[in-house]
Amino acid sequence: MTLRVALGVLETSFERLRHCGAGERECVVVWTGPQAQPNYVDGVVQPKHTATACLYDIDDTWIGEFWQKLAAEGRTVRAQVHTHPRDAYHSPRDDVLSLVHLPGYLSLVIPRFACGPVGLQGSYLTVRREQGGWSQLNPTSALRFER
Amino acid sequence: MSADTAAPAKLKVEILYVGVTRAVAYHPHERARSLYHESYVAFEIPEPEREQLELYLPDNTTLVNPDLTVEEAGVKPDTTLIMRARSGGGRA
Repeated sequence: MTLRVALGVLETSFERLRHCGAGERECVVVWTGPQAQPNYVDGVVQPKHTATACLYDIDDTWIGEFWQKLAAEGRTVRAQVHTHPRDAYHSPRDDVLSLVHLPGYLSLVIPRFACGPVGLQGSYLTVRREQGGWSQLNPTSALRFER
Repeated sequence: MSADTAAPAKLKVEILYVGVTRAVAYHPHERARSLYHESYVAFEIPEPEREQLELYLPDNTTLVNPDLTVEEAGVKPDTTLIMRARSGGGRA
């Protein structure tokens, strides 16, 4: 599968991850898109969350409020993007506590608290499988950025 | 079938997940656990992922207790329940 990413989504994501994480805490944003346009994202939303240098937690009631907002706007969530302090990978906690549990949902991990150049270098991308669990993807193949 | 032996009519509730709503039918006196199952099926949640997702009443804070009947758990027909993880997060 390929997820089409609207112009500016990656840049906005880095900006928010850097600003909120301040180079010392993990941080998370999610990518949203119109329900009527599968495999397309054009929005960046930052969940209400807490974080330290080694983990983040999303406010659980925020999740329900987010679902309601998405429904009102005819949108859905297709991917999450979070930072790690050093290398990018999916930890067991990343696997279990992801925001969405649907097949096809993507999780992109950005290294060095997103303080490096905007782009996919050193990133880690994984997708939820039909049978459960995750499969690693090549970020440069699975994400197509609109110019 | 006579009125005495007719199965009780099913009621309907909407389930909201990731901004999408799906209708699920239920009997008010069945265990809420079966409503959970029908909700997972409606959204095609893979079996290994299901234990992470819970149902909440429209107030978004009251858990639908799977061990009670749907009625006892506070579910009202034609309302929208919220399906979400009990927590979200990562790494550590």
